[in-house]
Amino acid sequence: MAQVRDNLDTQKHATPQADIMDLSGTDHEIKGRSLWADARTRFFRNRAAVLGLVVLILVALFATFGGLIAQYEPQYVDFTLMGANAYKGVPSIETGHYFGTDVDGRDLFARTVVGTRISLLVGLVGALVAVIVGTLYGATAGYLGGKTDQIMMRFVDILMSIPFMFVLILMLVIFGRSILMLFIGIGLISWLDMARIARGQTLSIKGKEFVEAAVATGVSPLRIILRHVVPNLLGIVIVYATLLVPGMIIFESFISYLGLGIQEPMTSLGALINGGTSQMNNGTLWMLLYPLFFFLITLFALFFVGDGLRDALDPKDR
Amino acid sequence: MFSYILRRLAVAVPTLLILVVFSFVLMFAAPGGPFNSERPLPPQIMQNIEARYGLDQPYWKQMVDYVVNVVTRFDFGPSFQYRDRSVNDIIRQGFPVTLTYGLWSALVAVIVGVALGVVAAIRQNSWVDYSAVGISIGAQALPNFVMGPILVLVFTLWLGWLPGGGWRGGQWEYVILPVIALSTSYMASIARITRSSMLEVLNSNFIRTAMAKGLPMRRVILRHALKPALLPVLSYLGPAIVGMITGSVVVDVIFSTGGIGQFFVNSAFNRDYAVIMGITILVGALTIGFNLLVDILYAWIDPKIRY
Amino acid sequence: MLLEIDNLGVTFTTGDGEVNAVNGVSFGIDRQETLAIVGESGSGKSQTAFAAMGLLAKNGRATGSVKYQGKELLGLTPRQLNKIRAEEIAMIFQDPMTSLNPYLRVSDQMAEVLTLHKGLSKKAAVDESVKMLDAVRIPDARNRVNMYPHEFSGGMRQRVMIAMALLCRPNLLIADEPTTALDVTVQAQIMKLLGEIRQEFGTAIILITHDLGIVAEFCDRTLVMYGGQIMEDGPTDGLFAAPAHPYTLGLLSAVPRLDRDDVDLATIAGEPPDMSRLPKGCPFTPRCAFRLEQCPTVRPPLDPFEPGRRRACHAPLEEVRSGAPQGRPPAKPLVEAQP
Repeated sequence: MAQVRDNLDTQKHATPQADIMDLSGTDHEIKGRSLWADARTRFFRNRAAVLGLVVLILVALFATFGGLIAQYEPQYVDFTLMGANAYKGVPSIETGHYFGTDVDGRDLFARTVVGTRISLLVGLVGALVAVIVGTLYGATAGYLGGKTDQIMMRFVDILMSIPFMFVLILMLVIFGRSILMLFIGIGLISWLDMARIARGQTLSIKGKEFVEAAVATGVSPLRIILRHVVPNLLGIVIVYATLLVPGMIIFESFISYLGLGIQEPMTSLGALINGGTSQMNNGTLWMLLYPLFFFLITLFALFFVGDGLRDALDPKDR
Repeated sequence: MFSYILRRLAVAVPTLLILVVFSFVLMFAAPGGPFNSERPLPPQIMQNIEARYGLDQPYWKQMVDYVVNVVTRFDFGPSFQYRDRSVNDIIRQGFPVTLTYGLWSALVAVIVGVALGVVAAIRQNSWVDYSAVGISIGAQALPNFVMGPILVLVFTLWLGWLPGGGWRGGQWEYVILPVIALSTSYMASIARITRSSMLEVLNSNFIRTAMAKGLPMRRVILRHALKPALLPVLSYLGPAIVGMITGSVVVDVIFSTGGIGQFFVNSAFNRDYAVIMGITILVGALTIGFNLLVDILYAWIDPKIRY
Repeated sequence: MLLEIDNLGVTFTTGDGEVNAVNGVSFGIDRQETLAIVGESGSGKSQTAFAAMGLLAKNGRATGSVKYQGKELLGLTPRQLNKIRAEEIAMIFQDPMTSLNPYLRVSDQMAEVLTLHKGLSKKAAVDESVKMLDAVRIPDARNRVNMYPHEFSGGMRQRVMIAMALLCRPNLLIADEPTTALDVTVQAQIMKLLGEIRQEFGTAIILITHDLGIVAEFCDRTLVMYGGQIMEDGPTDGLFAAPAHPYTLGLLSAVPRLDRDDVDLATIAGEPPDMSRLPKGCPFTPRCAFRLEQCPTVRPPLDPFEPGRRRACHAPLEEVRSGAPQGRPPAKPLVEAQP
């Protein structure tokens, strides 16, 4: 996250306002605040968003380095607990099973680390595809306009009206269940919303003077899209990418919950929640609650960060 | 209006056809073909399939046959798993269940969501508003596969008020938990959308005009503000319906309702392509149909849309 | 007095603190009189009218007193206020494009006023609405009443707004920049219509505008506002002929005139005031060429100086009348340092 923001700062001269401020910046009393610096101030004033960001960083640290703390490998079956999970597999510091064990006697802490990692990865991949494919597609459609725009957006409409979960499950059944297949499936749909948003924003940027100036000086359409349109889409794209990530995570967890996604011995939060649910009757609630806790705080953190970014970057709400 | 509907149909029908053809191609693109998977099919089923699909025919002929059967007679052919049941039998058994609680869920999501959103907007920054916003943010992070287990945990295991599964021909106590599990997150989204669009409408000039005319607040809200405020909700209904139909799969599994979702997941594990395809196409037709309905409703409400 | 406003204040609570949009404004209007409130955008002229009608935005608060025929309007319950609105005081707005509900037919929007306030049946109400549309010269009113607002042009929509405002024959019509969003030719038509309405219905009109040309032709009395305060008021002819406040002076010299051949059009130097950080004294101080020592700190009272005329200025009347400060150089506009 911090890295993203640093990148944004180097982008500030892409905004016309910032350039004007620099020209008039002879008076040192008046310090030009770039849009991004402005947005950063607004974001950090939003307590819920900052809290979300902190939680998100903690969850990411947990997913990355949690394995170092775990006392067991995620696949290792603790045979000493066999058949006695309900009282011997409870979370405890002494046995080293901090979150207890799952129904097969595997360390739930280690498995939650793996599951969280997969969920974050899914969110990241989905957001990445959405940002790259969706932005370029939407910017192109919006910039070219006319018939091309109509056909390109009609295509998006059609894809959006198809129940993708079913098609993806069909694909998983036919080509076998694998993480790769899951990523392909998520990549296939994640960019649709972004394409629409990027197009809408492009339409308004298109009318701005700096684009007209570029057109008038004979800059090629591709160059205009990449140099002038896309950098100005960044704000809104970042906001909606953040807001898309929870949807992606829910999507993956949904399939894994059904047992059709990530396969054993790998796991994801959805699969772990499913494992916990099936044992609900047996008094081993920790199997449900730990993965559920990480799932929920991740989603909440993402929602709050996304909302905070939207308030900070989306000029529509101001 | 009529030509508008026709034009929307002109897009909807090809979309559906593309979905049918796409699923069929996928099925035949499966490594090793659809019928000689690692698990040999029982001879009786093989017979059914051969009789139906004519496996000696070239692929394109098989596909055309399948499409024609689906389109003209709504016939999805025999199951790959059960020797004495067709895909149609399975749909006939499971679909009414899913449809029942699905429609209830949609109704609850829209009515409760809109009501919550409107009240929150009118009483902006009051405790009603804050709790409505809080609830809806919370509920958005609770997808159905999380809601389901939590509901069972609370209402079945702890309180013992409601059964945690089954259907019993749709008696009300069996319907409640599936409906709550399926509708909550959509209700929350609808409440949020209604609230923000209602706030925007209430700040618009024509509402000020209505107030200046000395209309009671009640009438200003119901007659002047509600319709435009509901347009964004209406556009959200398309994706929401897709989401609910998808979510019904998980609800069917969690609550063992015997809906089509359960058959779908079952078939996914048993590689019963015929059932998967049949249900996918049915669901596709449903979503496309509902989207069409939403578009028409939208055009009907918004006088500025030219047909 | 038909409407009497005394020491009216309007305060908005915003994220950046309190903003005083209107400060101690007092004036009145008689039956059948036309009063212009003139000022640039943000001078508080619209908020004054909104406060009188109880139409302030949710974060706004009105203090002071607004009396209609001796009855206090501030603090009325919504139900009591609704009896006043439309029946006694009606209002039309700046942007006719967005001031009519785009989702309802004109007939429904007009008829509901009559069914609600006069208890007419729907049919009688529509008939009455058609008559009123005829009265504001909308051709083919009988058929057009069933159309949606977007099927009317801007000028026609403003006519619909006026017809709708007049349905209950109010004693006072507040027109908030009724012609700003319209073409010049249409502006003239609408103003002509308002003039005819005053004749025909005997309605008193408060015209809120920044267009001085309209004021000169149309209004009996003019009130000049700046920074949420009244700078001066008086009969229109007198005020235009001999302005008594530096701001009015500036406003009038900024109007293009055909009877003088000035090469350059004068402008008022400086920026409109930041309403959240007004000076304690006269809000016009930073831009005023007649500025005196006490101006930034002591608010000049709005004092009568001639029959029917008042002004709020520390500078001597003769000095302002002469057009430039006497015996001292004109003050340069103060440019505020950026925060």
